[in-house]
Amino acid sequence: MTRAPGKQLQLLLLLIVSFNVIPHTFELPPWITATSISFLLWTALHLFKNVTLPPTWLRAIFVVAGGVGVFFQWHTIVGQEPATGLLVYLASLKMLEATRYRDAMYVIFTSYFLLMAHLLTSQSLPSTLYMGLDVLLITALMFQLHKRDRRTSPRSLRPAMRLLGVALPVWIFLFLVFPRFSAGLWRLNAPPPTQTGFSDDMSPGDVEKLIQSDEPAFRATFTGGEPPSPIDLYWRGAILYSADGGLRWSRNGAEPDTDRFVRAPGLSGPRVRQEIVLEPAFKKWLFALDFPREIEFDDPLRHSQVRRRPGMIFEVSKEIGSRTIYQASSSRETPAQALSIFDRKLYLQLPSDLTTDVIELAQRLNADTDSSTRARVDRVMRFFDDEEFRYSKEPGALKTGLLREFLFESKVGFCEHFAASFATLMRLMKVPARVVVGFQGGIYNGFGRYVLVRSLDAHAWAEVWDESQSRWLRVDPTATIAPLRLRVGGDYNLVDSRDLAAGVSEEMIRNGFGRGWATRFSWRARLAWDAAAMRWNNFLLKYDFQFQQELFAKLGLGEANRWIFFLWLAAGLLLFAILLQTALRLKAKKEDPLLDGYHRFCSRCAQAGLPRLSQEGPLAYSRRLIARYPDAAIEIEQLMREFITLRYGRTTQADPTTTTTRRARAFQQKSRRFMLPKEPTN
Amino acid sequence: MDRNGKIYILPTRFGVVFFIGIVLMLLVGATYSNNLVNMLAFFLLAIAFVAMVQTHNNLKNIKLQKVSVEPGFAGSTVSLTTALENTGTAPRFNLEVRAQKMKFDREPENAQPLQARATLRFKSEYFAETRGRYPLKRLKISTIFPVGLFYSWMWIPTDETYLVYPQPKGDQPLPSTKLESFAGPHALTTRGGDDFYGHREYRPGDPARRIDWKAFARGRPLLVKEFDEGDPAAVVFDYDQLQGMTQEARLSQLAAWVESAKQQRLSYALRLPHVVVPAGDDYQHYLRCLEQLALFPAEPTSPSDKIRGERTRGRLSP
Repeated sequence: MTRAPGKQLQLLLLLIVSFNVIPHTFELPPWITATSISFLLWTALHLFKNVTLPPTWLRAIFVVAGGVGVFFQWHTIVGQEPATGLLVYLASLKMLEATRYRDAMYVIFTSYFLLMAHLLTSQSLPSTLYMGLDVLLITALMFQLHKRDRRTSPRSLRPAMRLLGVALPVWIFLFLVFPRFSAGLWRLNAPPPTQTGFSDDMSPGDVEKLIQSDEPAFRATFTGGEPPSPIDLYWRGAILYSADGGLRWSRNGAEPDTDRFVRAPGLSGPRVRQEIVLEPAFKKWLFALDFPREIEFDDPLRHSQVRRRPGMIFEVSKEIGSRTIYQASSSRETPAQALSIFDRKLYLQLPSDLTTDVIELAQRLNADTDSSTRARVDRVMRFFDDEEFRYSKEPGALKTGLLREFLFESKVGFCEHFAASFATLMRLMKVPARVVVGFQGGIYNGFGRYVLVRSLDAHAWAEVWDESQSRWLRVDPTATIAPLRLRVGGDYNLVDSRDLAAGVSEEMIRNGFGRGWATRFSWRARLAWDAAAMRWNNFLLKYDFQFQQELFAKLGLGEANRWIFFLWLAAGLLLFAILLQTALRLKAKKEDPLLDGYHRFCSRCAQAGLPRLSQEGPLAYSRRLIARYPDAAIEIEQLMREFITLRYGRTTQADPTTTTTRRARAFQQKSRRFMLPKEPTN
Repeated sequence: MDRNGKIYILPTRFGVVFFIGIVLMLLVGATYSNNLVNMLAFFLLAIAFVAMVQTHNNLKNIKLQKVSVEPGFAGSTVSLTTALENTGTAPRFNLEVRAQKMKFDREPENAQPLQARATLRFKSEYFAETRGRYPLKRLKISTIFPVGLFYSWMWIPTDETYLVYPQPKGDQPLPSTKLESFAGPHALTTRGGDDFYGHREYRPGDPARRIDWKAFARGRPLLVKEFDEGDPAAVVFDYDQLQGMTQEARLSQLAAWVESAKQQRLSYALRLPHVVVPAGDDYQHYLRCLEQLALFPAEPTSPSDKIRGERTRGRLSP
């Protein structure tokens, strides 16, 4: 019934394992990837060129070496990464000895687990499609291993189709009704991926790294109406308040005081509500439009981790390792608030490496009759404009690293440099200032009605304190230096620096430098794909306990709780009944095995149409049975003789109890198996 | 409570491992609230569930059409051939047929599917241990199709019996005693008080005086007593000639002689204490001789004697 996999099946096994190892290759340490691939190659060489396989002792060494290697790599073997590493390593190693049926089955099971490990690192539409294909392949292989009929005609595939075809509705049913645990004792957050994103402390290089990639950062759906135009989309991430010298700003040192808003109705304007699906690369920062006031997670565990930080920013206490969804509510204008003495000092702190020419520049810009914040901002902006500062995504490092070099010599930078130098100049002019990092822009996706914000939309701008209005003002120096950047969004960062120097128009960037309908078509296809992915991600994220309840309610089933409760009650009762039956059977076994065996014997014979009469003893009954079934005479006689000896005979053995019990058991077994021939023979 | 023809099902070892794997996946899915992992676990659960039904259905509508056991020598194998009929509308895959309580010599090999409304023969070989006639009792038809997570089986009772011949063993040379050295054929056939060597069923036209009326009176069907004169040049294999050996060794020696006589195409007769097989040289004769050797009564008294003995000693109460 079970058979060793032939060469053909071994090859299929090898393909399946390779297919499942591929997604892990880039995420694992190179040595694991390299050894795994060599094991798989070795197997392939064995199958195609009859290269000898490693002997058992060598395989044992490989196993030990793998375990030790994983331990040294991660200093543990528990946890998602080391477990995945070990799984990949051992699965490839197992292929070197996948010659028996048992091995084939374990390789198949391991493949399912490799797939699971991949799904833990990536929950996306492509991953889902990959899962679908992979599951079909593995299951088909498992099927083929047991069909034994080697022909694979369309006719012979019909049972496999039926298996999958029937499994599909069962699967959907299970997915929909199987109870979910929204937050349990053992809820964990997935560890964050190793991709680039904003680092923990939002260090200054982050923006420069981010604008090199067009990976999605998050998608925002405006739940209360149409989204603002892209140029007005400022997504707040974090504030940098410590000027560390040169162009470096950070969150080092003491944190500002908690925001204290002044109740001034009308000033902060209406709230804009957004639902944001954040990709897992941004550690712990929660982005939201303009000036976020509230952030809420549906997931109670996550919600308890939300922390409100000074400067209208939000973070979570545990790093975000998987795609996550939250609701944000933002003001379009900064609300009026109070600035404490401590904060005023903090926001006016100057870097220690200022040179005299920079201080003089600030004094020169400050020497004007109009001392309002607006006027000072305008004078600095005019300075940037007059001195012909240029925008470049790759400005090159400053030789001295000093602010004066940027302001008076290179005059080339990107948003972060402008924001940093602007904020420093404002502080020199005694205006409290800070740098804000986040994203600016985004693509409105008409298919899915959401705004897609990508890595390259990363942006930095400044905020200055307006004493007269008692609120912070947003100032974006990039708007003066490279207005196109704000109009076309992050795509500006994709433009080649030579093209930038030659001068480009908004239309040129929007039309992909005139590459025609093919570009536009592929762009639309990309948007459609992204919308589908967004929808799928949302489904995966939102289908939890709460959603399940809502679904049941929509279907008119009332309180989902109750239904799930009844389902589980039914399952529990069934399980209980089975257990009870088993227990009773076990108990019956414990009863006198001799009598049990005799009763079984009698009921067997009664089934055959010859029941024992109430006045009949075993001997008389057996005689009557033998007369009717002469063919079974020997068996009947043996059984009855044994029964009579054990029940009525004297025990003469040295150790009577054990031997008698054993014989009684044997008798019970025998009479259980006893069968009368169907037809009495004469 | 009829166990025959009922289909039973249990998870295999791999089925249990698979189920533990699913539970593990569900735990991982819940721990990391990863719905894709949940999906994978539910898919595997669905596969297992459907596989359970399919494994069970793979035995539905299967009837035993024919069963026969080729006799064999003790120490070697007997082979069981069964013909299963599929009265259903879908083909059945990966079936296994085996006899209850018999040790496999070789895994049965039939990779063919049993097509709908078709019959397929299954062959399996078993170790034959000691000589005698044995009931086949029951056949077990089982399957792990389609994915090896569940094992399903059913019992089919048979009335079939099979013979195990004594192991041909012994180094004595073929005896040279010829049938003619006995005082004529009658000297052989009248031995032991019985004047016939066997029965066969009555066929119309048989002379009435050769019918065994005594047997008929005992409730058995009409039997005809057969007499055979035999070939006077035939060799005689005589049980009593083999002195100083145990009973089983004698039977083994006789079996060895029968074997070699068959190979040398000699005509031979077999003489046992209770029965005589007259001379012959064809295959039927060879089988008859071996059958008599297989059915030679065992040395200790039969169990029915013992029961009778116990009763007479008055140790039993009804």
